[in-house]
Amino acid sequence: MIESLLAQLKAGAFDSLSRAESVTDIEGLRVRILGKKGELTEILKGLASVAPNDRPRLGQLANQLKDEISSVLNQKLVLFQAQESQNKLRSEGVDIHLPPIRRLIGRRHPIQLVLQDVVAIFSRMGFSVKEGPDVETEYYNFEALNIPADHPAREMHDTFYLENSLLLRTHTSPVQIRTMETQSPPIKIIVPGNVYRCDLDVTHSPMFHQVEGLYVDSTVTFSQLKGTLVYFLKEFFGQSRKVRFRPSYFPFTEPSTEVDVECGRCNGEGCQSCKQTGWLEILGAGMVNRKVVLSAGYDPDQVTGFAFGIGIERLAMLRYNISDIRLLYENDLRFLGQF
Amino acid sequence: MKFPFSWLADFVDMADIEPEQLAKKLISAGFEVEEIISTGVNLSNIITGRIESLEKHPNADRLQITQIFDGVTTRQIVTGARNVSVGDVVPVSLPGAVLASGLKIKPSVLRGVESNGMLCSKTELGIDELSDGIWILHPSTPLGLNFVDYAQLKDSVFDVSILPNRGDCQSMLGLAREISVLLGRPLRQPEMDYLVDPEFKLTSGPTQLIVDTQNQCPVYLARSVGNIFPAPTPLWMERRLSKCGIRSHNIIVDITNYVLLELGQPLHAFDADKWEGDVIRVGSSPANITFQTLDQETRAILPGAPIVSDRNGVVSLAGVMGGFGTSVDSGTRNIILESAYFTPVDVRRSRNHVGLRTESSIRFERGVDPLGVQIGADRALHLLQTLTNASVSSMSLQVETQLYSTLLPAPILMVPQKINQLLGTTYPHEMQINVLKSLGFSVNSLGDTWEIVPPSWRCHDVKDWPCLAEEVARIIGLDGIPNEFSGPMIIQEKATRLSIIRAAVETFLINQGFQEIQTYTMISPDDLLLSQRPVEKKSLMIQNPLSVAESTMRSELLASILKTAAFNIKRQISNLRLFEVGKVFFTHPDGTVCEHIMSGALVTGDQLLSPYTIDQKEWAKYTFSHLNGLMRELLDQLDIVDFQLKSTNNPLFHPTLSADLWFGDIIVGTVGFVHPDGVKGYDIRQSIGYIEFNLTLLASLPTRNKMFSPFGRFPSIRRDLAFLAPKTLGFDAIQGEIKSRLPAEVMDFYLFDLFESDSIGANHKSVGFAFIYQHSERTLLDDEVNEIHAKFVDDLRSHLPVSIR
Repeated sequence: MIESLLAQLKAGAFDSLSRAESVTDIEGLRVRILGKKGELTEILKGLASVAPNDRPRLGQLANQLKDEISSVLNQKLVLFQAQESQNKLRSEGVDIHLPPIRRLIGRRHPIQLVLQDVVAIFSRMGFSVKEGPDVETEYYNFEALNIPADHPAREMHDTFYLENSLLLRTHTSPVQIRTMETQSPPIKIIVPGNVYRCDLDVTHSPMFHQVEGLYVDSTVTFSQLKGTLVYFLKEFFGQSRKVRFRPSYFPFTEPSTEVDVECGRCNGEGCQSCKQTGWLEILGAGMVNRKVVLSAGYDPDQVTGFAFGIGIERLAMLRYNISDIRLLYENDLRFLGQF
Repeated sequence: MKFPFSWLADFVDMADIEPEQLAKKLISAGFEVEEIISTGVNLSNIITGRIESLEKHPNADRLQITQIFDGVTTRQIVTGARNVSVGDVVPVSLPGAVLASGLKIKPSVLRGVESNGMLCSKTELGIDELSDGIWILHPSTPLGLNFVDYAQLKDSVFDVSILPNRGDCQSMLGLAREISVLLGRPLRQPEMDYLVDPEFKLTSGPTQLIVDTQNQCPVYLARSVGNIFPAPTPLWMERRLSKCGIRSHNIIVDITNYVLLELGQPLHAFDADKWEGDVIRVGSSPANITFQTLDQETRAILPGAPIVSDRNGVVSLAGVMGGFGTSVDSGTRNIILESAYFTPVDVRRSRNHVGLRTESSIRFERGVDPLGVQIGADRALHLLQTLTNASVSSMSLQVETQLYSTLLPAPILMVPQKINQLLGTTYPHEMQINVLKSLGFSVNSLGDTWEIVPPSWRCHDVKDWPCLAEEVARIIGLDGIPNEFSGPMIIQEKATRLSIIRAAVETFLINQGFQEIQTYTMISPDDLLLSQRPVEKKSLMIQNPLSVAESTMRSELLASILKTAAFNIKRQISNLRLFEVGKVFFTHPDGTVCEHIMSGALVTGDQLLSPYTIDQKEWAKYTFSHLNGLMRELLDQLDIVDFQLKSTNNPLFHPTLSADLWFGDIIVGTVGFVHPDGVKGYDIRQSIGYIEFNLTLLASLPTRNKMFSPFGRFPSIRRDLAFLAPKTLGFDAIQGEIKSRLPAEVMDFYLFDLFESDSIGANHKSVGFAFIYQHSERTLLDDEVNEIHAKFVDDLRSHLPVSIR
């Protein structure tokens, strides 16, 4: 009797198992067949009425069947779990080719990129960064720098004037005086900042940026000036670029020099961007004029120094191949996004 | 200034020197050759010939048949020229000749008539861009000459930028002096000799010279010259003037201009027959004087400017331009030749006032050679006598004032060792001295020290021993000075708080997607309607702006950034995150000018690039909370705490969607949306968010104290509290009340829910707070927390007009 019941159960169980399709089906079958109130338990209740001699055999038979069904249940469970997990992940998918969610990208302005590079190179050489006011007096902008009233050099500086004989500084050189007035040598500074001249065309902007350099100590030489500038220019433009020093004139330095770098476009052969000269004019420099040293309150017999001034826009234009300075101040994002 | 190579070669032998070679040497010595203009490179086989006859061409109306005589043979040449007539002497290109364009001339047959060459225009000879017809030469021009040489057609003209301190090189002789040193070759002086006719006296013109203006005219020399034969200006002179950009007028004016270019000494010739009275008076101009200059313009003279007068009044604006009344013309036979020294400052002021920049003023302004006055006059007299057969009178009126002797250079004490110290060189002392000697300095050894006297032409710029160092360095060559890269160690100063804050703000904003911009600090007074607002900060105005749009120093950074936003929006770029760190300027009521460094960050459009789902689109919109959040994140990074947010009175901002950031009693920033009226002024139709900090002020604020405090190790328990509150009850008030009644066991609390809906009534909002209870030394029990929390809620309810949900 029990044997036939077990056989029936087995047939029914395997039939159901073969039709199971999911983890839920399997769990349901496990409860229905092997659960505490399941079909197998119900059949085993009948063991009580069976002859004691038959019990061990029938019990063994039932256990065998239980193991057999369990094993299949587990196999199917693992299978369905894997299947279902895969289905779930599949259903979560999106079209990876949809546009990404993006925010705007922040970038530095090319003038600042160049300015940072310049400052970093000089910082490595021990120059400290100083700043000074844009609104200056005639004294700091001109007189203290050996440019008295009616000096022809004032014409080279087309100056913007404000009220009360104040002006917008035409160069960062006033900070030389301001620093020397408040500190004692050695002074080794660079001064980045805005400067202003009434001039506007493709290479001139009424406001632009300069980096001034000043090194004052007991025995600073022109030779050190050359070493410093050559290092800077090769770092900035590349080690292979040639550098040329030409004698020049500035009221606040003597001797004075203008420094050229070999044109990178034509490798010094001469082309349109270097006006066929093979050279690009980059900066002005020189040994600080004794009169300037004196007006800063130092004894020119005790200290010497060198100074230089670099136009940042010119460097930016050369580095990025920009032909019109006004682009730098228009701030068109189609321009700024390129740097 | 233009320097023809051929003219320079008058003074230094340069037969074996290529122009490019010379240019290199000049550049290395401080004379920047900006351009070398070569003319007539191709030209050959051009001669002078006379037109013996002209006939109509039988087969062409526009052509004529000429017979050209070159002194030996006659050739037939067909020409299309209209401006020639029989007897004209013209340049002729013979078969085999090459024109400036490279065109080769061959014998040819033009409409059946044989032609053996071509009559030439200036254009064909490469000296004029445009010319109207054949170049007609003076009838006295010899025939059959090699015209390329005769007219100096082959030349290289150097365009040299002369430095402001090298006024002495604004002449052929001046630059040639440098060249002679650079090439190590002798300098040839021009011819100066002339004969004085002791019998000759002008029947008109002055006989007396009075210099009233001692300090403006240290030396004045007047010579009288008569019987000037009105000869044509010789072609060589005309050509040289032309290469330097000066047009030929008549022989007298041309000679004065020639000497000016050659020696750098400006001269002026007055027509003696037009002179009134017996006296030349050199003085300072009184006020309100006008005067008709050579160019027949009437000009108002700067009061105090140096002038030359006759009995009738001003005859010359000294050093700038002569007057029309006494000017030399083609009929002039007798002249007063002026050679003088006017002081640079006075000429500069004077010419600035009349707005003239003449060849003469350019030289006086930079300073002429005080000894050049005599030399210039002598050279002009030589040329006048040679070229016009003029009689030079023995009358020489000359005044030297006390200032004159002080112009001449004073000795400079020089220690060669100090020159080496300054330059970082090891030039032998003898080498230094030799350089100076070659440049015309006189030297005198006093042992280790030398006494150096600069030549008179360097009196304006060489005044101290570093100038001598410059001379030595530039002649030996700057490139030869070693590039030294050592020295004592100099420790960099530490960064200022301002520079640290500035860098932190910039980095933060760039990382948040803000594009840095760079704007002018000058704006228009109309920007942001700044001029119409009552501001306690007065703006600084530029007296001489380039345009109204850049006439005011900005007192608001927003003006510049908003303008940039408008510029881009107009170009259809409407999602923007822009920032700038820059200066603003204003005058305090006490008159001091302040410059503050501000950071301004502007947002507009969407914060996402092209959102396409509803969620994304909603998320992309900027709200005040976004702006506020950006500001708080930045303040956190700067370690700035203890600030307060208050509604702003700033008229530039939206009255209810913006706030000022206060620290103590100063405003250090502003956040929110820009006032729609302000935005409209820029033609922008989208809302603009803006976050601004005053970095100058921020840099002075104290920062958070960074000391470690232990955090709780025991588990926390969260209790939520939701209540209905009147809409008018501000979050600040609620939060303040909570803070003041907060149980000690609450470690943290935050808003987790806020909503408004009709279901809870139009005048109410639902507010939900989470409170985190935690004990530092033990685990809190549920019952314990329930008790504390219930008490706290009761307390709140009795102090806030809220109903617990």
